[in-house]
Amino acid sequence: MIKKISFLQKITAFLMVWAVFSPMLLTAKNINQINGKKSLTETQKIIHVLNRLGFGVRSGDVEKVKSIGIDKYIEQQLNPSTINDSTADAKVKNLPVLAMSNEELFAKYPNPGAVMTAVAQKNGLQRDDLMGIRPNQQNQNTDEMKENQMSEADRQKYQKEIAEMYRKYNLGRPNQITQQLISSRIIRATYSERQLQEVMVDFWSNHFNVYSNKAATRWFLPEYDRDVIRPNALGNFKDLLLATAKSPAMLFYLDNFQSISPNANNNNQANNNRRRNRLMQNQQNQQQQRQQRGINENYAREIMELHTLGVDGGYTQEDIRQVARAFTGWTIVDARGYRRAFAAMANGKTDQRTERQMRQAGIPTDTPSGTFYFNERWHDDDTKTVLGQKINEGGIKDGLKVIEILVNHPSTAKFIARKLAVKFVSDAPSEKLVNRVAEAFTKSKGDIKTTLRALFTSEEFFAAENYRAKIKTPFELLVSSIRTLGADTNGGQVQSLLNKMGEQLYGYQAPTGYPDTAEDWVNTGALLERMNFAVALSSNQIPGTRVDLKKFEAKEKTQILENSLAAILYGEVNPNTRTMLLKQIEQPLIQTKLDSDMDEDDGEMMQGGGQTRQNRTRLNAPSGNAEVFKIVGLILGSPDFQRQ
Amino acid sequence: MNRRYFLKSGGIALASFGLMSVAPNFLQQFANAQTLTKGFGKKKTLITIFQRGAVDGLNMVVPFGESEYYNLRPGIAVPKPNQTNGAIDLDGFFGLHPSLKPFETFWKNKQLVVIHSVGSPDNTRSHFDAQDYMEAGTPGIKATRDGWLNRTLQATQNEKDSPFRAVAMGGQTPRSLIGRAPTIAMTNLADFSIRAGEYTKSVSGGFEDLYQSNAKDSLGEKGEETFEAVNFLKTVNPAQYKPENGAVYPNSSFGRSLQQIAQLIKAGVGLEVAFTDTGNELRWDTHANQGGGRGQLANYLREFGAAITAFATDLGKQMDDVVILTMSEFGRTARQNGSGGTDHGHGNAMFVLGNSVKGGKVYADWKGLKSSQLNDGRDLAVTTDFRDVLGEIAFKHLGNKDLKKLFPSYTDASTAKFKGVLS
Repeated sequence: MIKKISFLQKITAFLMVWAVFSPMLLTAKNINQINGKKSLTETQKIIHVLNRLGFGVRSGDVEKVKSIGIDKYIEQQLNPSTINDSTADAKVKNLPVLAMSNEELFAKYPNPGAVMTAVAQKNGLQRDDLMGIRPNQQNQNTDEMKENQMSEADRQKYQKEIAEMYRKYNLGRPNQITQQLISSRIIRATYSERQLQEVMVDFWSNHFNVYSNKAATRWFLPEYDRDVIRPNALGNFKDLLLATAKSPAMLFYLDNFQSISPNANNNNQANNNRRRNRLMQNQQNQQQQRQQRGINENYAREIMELHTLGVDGGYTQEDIRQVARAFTGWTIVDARGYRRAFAAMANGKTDQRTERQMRQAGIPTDTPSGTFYFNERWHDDDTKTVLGQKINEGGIKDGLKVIEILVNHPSTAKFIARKLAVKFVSDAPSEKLVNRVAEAFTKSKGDIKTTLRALFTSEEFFAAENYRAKIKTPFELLVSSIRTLGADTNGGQVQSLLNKMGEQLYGYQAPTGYPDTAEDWVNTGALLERMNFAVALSSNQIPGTRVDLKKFEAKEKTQILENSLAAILYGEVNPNTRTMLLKQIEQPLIQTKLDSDMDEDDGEMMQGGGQTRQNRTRLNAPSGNAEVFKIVGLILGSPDFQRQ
Repeated sequence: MNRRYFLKSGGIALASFGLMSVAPNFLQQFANAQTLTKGFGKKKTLITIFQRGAVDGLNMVVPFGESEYYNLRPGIAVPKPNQTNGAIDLDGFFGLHPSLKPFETFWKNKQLVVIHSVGSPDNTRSHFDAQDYMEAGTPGIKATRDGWLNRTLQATQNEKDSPFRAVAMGGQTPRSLIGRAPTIAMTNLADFSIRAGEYTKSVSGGFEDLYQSNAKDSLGEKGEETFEAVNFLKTVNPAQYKPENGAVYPNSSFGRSLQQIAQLIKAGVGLEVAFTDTGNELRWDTHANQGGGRGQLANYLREFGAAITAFATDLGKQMDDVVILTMSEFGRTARQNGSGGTDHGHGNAMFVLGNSVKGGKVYADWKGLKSSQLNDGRDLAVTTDFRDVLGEIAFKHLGNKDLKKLFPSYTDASTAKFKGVLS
């Protein structure tokens, strides 16, 4: 019975894959008929490169690549530092979090609790006494306040003091960190001339996935993007892996920052004797629990299963244990640094409690919060054996040795090669292609450029059956839509539509990251949101994103369609789609009067962790020439434009 | 693949061809009956409710028969039954928090089950990790790609499945539902449509035609399904919903979520799994001033109980095919802390509600609350693995017989471990 089911599932899976690819075969046939041979035209090749190595085609891009030559364009893209990117750089200038250190972010975007603590201390109270009061009037928790039996006058006084803190130090809310970072990702993907760099940033951010809503992770994200992913996106895989291993974002997300050798030289007894007040007692209890947990295997498992070898890459549970031991002591200085940073800024003094904890852990108190620290005292210095290799380097070199072993393992070359082939070529790449790319990875010792070059120069990359064979991810759809229309975006509110389509950046809870194949993205609810995004964009409903469709206007309705098809699908459109669009353009537009609140989008967010909720997103009412935005919206939302 | 989900339904098919008036009487009756359960056959539905933030199970379902309970919680214990704001006696040992008074009827009608001292074998006290493990169904393992509810859907997937098979109320797909089997996440039933302001009709019609004309394309096919679903939901007219049997939903995001789930069930959209958390209004993470028989937690529990009660009342007889399951990532410390609250603990309590449950019973392998009996000397021990409860419901209610696939890391998974909460 069980076997039967799994057989059925296999058949279903096969049918689904077949169903996704069958239209491709159709497209391929068209190509055959047009050219009489099995290859893409020069223009199709250029479109393919612009879609796969970038986020779609802007007006004029095809001509530009034509004049440079495809090979040279690819080579340029592999060397992003040679490409001037001043436009994109200028557009992200007004996003302050991008340039801030983790310590600065802790201070400027403090956890609301840290501000409350500061206000409470000023008034000789405990933080819990102020429970329920929020800096923003609407979010008050009256139940909690009632419990506190606070007088209305007091409540107003503390409320005012909290608000005053925010004003005085020009503080922001923690969720702005992620919002600004995602804005920058959207802006760069849209405007950057270094398109492949942005594609690889997206790829590696997802490969080395971290989840913003896990406690303090969000404070580490700008650094993660700026100093870990970007500099290494087209560099060497080993450097990239090491950078992620040392990054506070990954250390926090996968818990390694609290992985401590059971033999570690800890000072818990001293802790016990120092319970001073109820607050400190609770917090120290929690701190102790963290410390008492000993070795944490999460990172050790994921670095092998998801970052390097792959799930069937040949490691055992014992290897996980040994790798975990090698990474003990790789930690973060004051991982929840908002309290210390805010105390320093608001009170001009050091936070005694934090510094005491640092001293107990053996971390010098002058090291900045939120930075990587190798804590010798927490490290398990005994010999380890990983994948059959002995490690007795000692200290931080144990972890470095693990990284070297993993990068050089043949399973890693295969795993990364396959993932790249799925990303850039097709959902089911051939073994031949995977082997070719894996070989390039191995021979170049993990050089990402060399590896990608092997992919881009393969026969399969330009094979007719792979043309438009990939379903765009929501992020790819969003950015390619904006690019093809020549729209202008600040990357802000448009995020809520990305979330609705199912790809909130830094919003995937599991360390696997978002999947990258069609069957994961194509379902009823998500498809509807793709269409709604297409309409919202083309009818200018998205605050902060403007589109001007005048260029598509024409006297003849059919000309509107031709203009739009030429710009968005370069004239390459499924005959069924064209016929139906022609029919659509001839139909009179129906206009219905609405209730006043009907054009408002209820973009309320209940996030995966359920702990935070983004503000409602209000879309504008549709505007512009309805004949035009209807057609443009239909094309952007058509099956044809979902593919690349 | 046959994609005509909604037209398959007898009643709707007849109606849509204008045949209702001429159809013979028995056929009309058949059609009407079909409209009740609608086109997907009689579907069993599971409603999963997540109390994010870790509810204090010891005050939600009170072990008033345990004197240690009162020693540990001098300031926040719920008084014994028959005292002011006292617990509602269930079996002489356990009692419901007084705010859950409306549950008493379900208890007496044997529609309500309590499982106590239940939780995860993983000892984490991180909200994030514990929710992650519970929703993935794999304690201690983070890399599990899909959620347990999605795996249950995968196991019983077939080509006639409704697009509304699995619905999460909320902007994003919760961890429990992430995976290969299609699911829908929405904040509002009315949102499930094309939104183009005054031009909605034209644009929506345009998309519908466009996808229909590309039906041979896998995307076209999905698009067609999408519009069948959109149009079907429109006929249900969610804005005009009137709860039945005098049910009154509280005006909270949790109340609204449950009401919309009830609408979907009654509309017969083929709902098998619904997920909602209890919303941000209900803050279960009561580290300070949580109160006892009255107070903060009491208020949240009142809201929680009222919403679930409204739902079960509204569905009435349809609760024959519906099971409600509540869960929370871990319990809270047995001892009250210095701030009149409780900190992150371990074992907790779950509710299972429905007409098919073996109700009126607290299922608990109860160790006690003495220091030596507590987990780490501080929390209620976990004596029932939460996967045994989830597994039983998936197995008996949803027909998912493959426990090993449902809980990949649970080598001991077995029907022998079921508590017997369902018949």
